[in-house]
Amino acid sequence: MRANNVLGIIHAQSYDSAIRELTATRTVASIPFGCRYRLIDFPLSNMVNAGITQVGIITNSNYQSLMDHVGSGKPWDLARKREGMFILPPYNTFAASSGNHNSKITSLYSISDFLSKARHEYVIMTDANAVYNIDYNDIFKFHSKMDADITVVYQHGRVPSTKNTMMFALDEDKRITEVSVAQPSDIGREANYCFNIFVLRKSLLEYLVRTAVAHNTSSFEKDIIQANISNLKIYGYKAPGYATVIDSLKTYYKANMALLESENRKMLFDPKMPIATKIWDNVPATYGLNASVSNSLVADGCTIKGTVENSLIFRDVVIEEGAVVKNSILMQGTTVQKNSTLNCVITDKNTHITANKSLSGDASYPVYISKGITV
Amino acid sequence: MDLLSPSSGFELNDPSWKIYSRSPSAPPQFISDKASVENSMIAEGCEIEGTVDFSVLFANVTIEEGAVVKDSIVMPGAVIKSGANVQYAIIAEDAVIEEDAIVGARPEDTKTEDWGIAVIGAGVRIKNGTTVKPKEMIDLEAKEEA
Repeated sequence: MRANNVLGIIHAQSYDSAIRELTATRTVASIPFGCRYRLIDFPLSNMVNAGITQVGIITNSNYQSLMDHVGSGKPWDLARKREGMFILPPYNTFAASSGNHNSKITSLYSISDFLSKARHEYVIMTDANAVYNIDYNDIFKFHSKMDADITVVYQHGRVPSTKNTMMFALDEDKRITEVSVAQPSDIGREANYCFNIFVLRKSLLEYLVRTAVAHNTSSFEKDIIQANISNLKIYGYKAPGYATVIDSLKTYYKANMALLESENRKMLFDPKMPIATKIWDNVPATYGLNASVSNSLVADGCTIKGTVENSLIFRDVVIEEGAVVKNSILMQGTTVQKNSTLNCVITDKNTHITANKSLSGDASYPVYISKGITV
Repeated sequence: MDLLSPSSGFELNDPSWKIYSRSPSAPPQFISDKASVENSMIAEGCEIEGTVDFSVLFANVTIEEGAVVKDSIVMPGAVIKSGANVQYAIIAEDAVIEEDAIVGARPEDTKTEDWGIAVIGAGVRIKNGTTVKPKEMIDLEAKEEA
C-alpha cells in the first residue's frame, strides 16, 4: 500500500472533556503546545510527510480556533486544487439529532459521503490529543507485511485517564489477542495502551460503521475493536520515539517540559520529518540588556527583559525588567510586568500579570490562568 | 545593529505594520542552562549554549557551549563551535566556525587602521584554532587560493 492511496481522518475533538481548562474555548486539536505549535500539527504534519494528500478533520463544536489555525492548509501543503484538507463540521442531521457528537461511530457515520467519495483504498484515522513524530509509512509497511485487517498503534506505559482507553495483550507476532477497556483502577498502571492511530481499508471502516449504526451500538472501542478481535486480524504497532498522550493539565505540563530535554526535541523535531504550523511573520525574539535566560524554549516575537528559567515561552510574550519566570508555560500574548514572579504557572493566551505579583504552583499541580485574564 | 538600539527608532515589532517574510518551519529556539543571552535578536530554530551579546542571529544557528558571539551578525544555519570567539563579524549562511577559532576583534584591542568587520562567506569552514583578523573577508574562492 502506498501513502497516496491512504485517506487521512483526524478526530479533532475526542477527549475534549479530559483537559477541561484548555478546551473551554477550543478543541483538543487546537491546544497550543511547544511554544509555536498546536496539537493538530503533529498528526497533520505526519500525514503530509508520509505522502498523504487528502485529510478530513472532524469537528463538532468550538472549532473557530481550529479553523483559524489550519486556514486553507497551506503550511502543510494541503491547499490544493485536487484533494487537500477538509474541515468536517457536524452538518449531517443524523449526527445532529443523535445528540452524541462525541462518539466516533456517529461522527464517522456523519461523514459517510466524504468517505465514499474519496478515491483512496485505505484510511489512517487518528485523534489529536497526542504528541509524536511517527513515519506513517512504517505503519503502512507493517500493515501490508502482516496482511492485517486493522493496524492499531499502541504505546507501553502509564495508562492515560481518557475515557474508554483500550489496553492490549499481543502475541509474539504483534497480533492483538485481547482488548480490555481501562477502568478507573487501571489508570496510571503500566500496560500496552491504545495510541488511537488506526490503519484499515476504507471499505472495512465503512462496513464496520454502518453495522454499528444498524445495531444501534455507540462505542468504537467496545463494539468495533473489542467485538471483532477474533473475526478480524488486528495487529499492534508500537509507537517509536517520543510519543505521549495528553490526558490532563498535569500531563500537558509534563509533555511541554519534556521538550527541554534535547533528546526529546531531536525525536520530535526531526528536520527530515518537520512539524509544520501556522506562520505568523513575527520578528525574532528580542532579549534586553539585563535578560537572563536558561534552559528554556522561546518562540518568535517575544521580548524578554527579565529572568526566565526552565520555561516555555510562546509567541509574542513580553517579560519586563525584574520579572522572574520559572518552570512555567506562558502561551502566546502573555505579558508579565515588572518585578512579578511566576513559578509552575500555565498562562493561557493573552493573559496579563501586572507588576509586583507573585504566583506559584507545583509541578504536580500547576496554577492555570485562563485566556484573557488580568492578574 | 540599529535594531538592537532602543534609540534608533527602527522598530520591526509593530503588529499593525507587519513586515512579511518567508518564515522557516523550525522549532522554537532553545537557550540552555549554560548560555548567556543579552541584548540580542534571535530567530527560530537556534540552539544557544554559549554567550551571545549585542548580536543578531538568524534561523537555525547553533552556538555551542563556551563559544562567544559579540557585536556580530550570524546568518541562517551557521554553526559556532565550542570555544570559538566571534566579535564584530558577519558570518554568512551555513558557515562553520570550528573549535577555538577566533574571528574578528574588538576595536579597542586593535590599531585603528587595522580594524574593520570580519566577514565569513556562505558555506566557509574556519578550521580549529585559526584566526581571522578584523577587516578580513573570506569566501569559498578566497579560501581555495589560500
